[in-house]
Amino acid sequence: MRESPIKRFGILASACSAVFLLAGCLTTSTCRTFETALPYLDNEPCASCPPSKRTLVLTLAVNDIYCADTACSCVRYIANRKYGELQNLLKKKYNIDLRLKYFIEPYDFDDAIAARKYDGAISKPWRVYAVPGTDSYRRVVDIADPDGNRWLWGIVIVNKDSKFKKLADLNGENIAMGNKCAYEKHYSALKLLAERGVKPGKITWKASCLESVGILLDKEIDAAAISNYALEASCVVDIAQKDDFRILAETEKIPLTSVMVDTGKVSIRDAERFRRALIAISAAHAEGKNFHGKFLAPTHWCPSLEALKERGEKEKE
Amino acid sequence: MRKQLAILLAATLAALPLMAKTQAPAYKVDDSYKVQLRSSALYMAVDSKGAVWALLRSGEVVQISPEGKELKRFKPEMDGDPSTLALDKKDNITVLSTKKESKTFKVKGRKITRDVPVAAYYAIYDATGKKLKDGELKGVTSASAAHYAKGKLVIADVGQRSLIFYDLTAGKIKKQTNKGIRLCCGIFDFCVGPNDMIYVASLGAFKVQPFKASGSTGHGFGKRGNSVDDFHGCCNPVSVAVLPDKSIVTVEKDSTRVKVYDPKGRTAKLIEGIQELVKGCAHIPLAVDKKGNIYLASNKGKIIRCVKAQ
Repeated sequence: MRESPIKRFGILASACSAVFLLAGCLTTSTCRTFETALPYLDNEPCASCPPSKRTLVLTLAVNDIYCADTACSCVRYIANRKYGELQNLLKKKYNIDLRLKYFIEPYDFDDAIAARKYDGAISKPWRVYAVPGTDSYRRVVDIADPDGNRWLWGIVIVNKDSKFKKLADLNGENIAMGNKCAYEKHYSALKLLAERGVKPGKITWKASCLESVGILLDKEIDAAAISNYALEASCVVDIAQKDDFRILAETEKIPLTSVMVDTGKVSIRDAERFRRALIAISAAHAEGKNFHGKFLAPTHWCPSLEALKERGEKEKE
Repeated sequence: MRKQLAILLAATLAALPLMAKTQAPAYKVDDSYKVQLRSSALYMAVDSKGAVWALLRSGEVVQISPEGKELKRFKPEMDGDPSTLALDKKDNITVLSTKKESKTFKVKGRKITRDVPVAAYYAIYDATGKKLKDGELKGVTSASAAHYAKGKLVIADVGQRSLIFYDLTAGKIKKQTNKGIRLCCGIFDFCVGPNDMIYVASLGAFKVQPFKASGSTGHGFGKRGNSVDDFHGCCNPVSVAVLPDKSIVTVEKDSTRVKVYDPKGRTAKLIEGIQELVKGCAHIPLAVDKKGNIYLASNKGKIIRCVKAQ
């Protein structure tokens, strides 16, 4: 059935507005480093793109906290995202051959990214940018978690029975924080403390939220900066419950999970083709049988200068 | 100057044996040992003659000679699911089982059903497979690992997240501790070392946590990290054993890493050439014998042996 010209104009106008709004966001934001979101090539709505006759083959490394193939089994009830159905749809409808290599161990993922073996990645964006030589990666789309949340942030928690009531109370105290490869519980958390004028007496650096929560429960530390999802979608669920803690403060928000391509390997045009296919599939199959996520146009985000400068440096002890 | 150099050289030479003693020994996979079982092992222990006893997922108990030949097989009667076994000083086999019930929980608005352990049982057999004793382990909800220490059966109760010291004669718990024990994925393993010192694979803390038989904790080692001395993955190590020379063996899953630490847990040596033994978050059965050989089981029924590298 043909759509009326007025309706078609309406759809086109909405699509154009959305694209211009996003483009506006990307260009007007103050970014001291580089914008990680892939810029839009033009404002052509994806629905009208004909499938290309040329097969686009993309091999991505995956380390996704909500993916059943990379998450710990203790959170399988929530981390149950599967990419098989997406791969089938991309091939069938868009002639895109998406090949995925799953990495359960983030350090193995880092090594694979450093070796530049892949055309891109599906992961937390900083996990890629924390590896030196990855500035050519661009976020094609962001992926929302099963509850529709697209953001990642750090939370500063204390034990439920702690005497500390607000962030300022942590002046001079011992706080556990994350390693440099976890932006939200390292750089964002340090930024939060600096902005609020909080100077910890000691910082205990930990690679895992599970370790930080463990020593918080043992009262070896006074507070911990951990990832916002850790109390519900990480191994922490096996040692504690959300109600065992109070959240004193939250950090800035950054993208949670993104599909990224290495524009040093994949042309911008092919990356755009991939993005449009993903967003079109997401719109048509948002509640896909086994996907448990949603692709969204990438939000603005540029990592801090300090974080980029420290790439490749040894973790703090 | 010459005198200073001579003193330095003498001091270095004197320290060499000490340094060698504190370093972890190197191990390699013994390609001559080939054991493939029809069902995978849940737990293993080595008897005084060097034979491996394995409790299989099928519920059978199998004895394998040091040459890799099957010597004995029997199927114990038990309530609940087979879960672990332990050998006492007389090489009698204590088989433990765990009874589970399905329970539904609500998490973030989603209903999830999980099997929750509710009771544990034991049965003791001699080496011929004859039952000597059995009963319920009162107050114990599960048994994922068990060993004898100071005459008590020590049980890893994942349901209560506790190490339980059980007196089988009295039929009751003598002691229970959960201090310093951080578990994950329903995995809970430990071993008994020299002087009945207990070492827990505290995978939720990325540590090996020692306990005295009195229940008090010692100083543990380990942290999450990328070096060979650290533990990787979402939670590790999944199993631990102490060798006769007091070196400590740890096993990590996803990806499988088997390492031998010096007795203080400071530095580790990776055993090269071991393929993935399990997929996902799963326990990897580990046992050591008096000669210092290391036995590991895969979830496909394979048992491998690692021996000291010459």
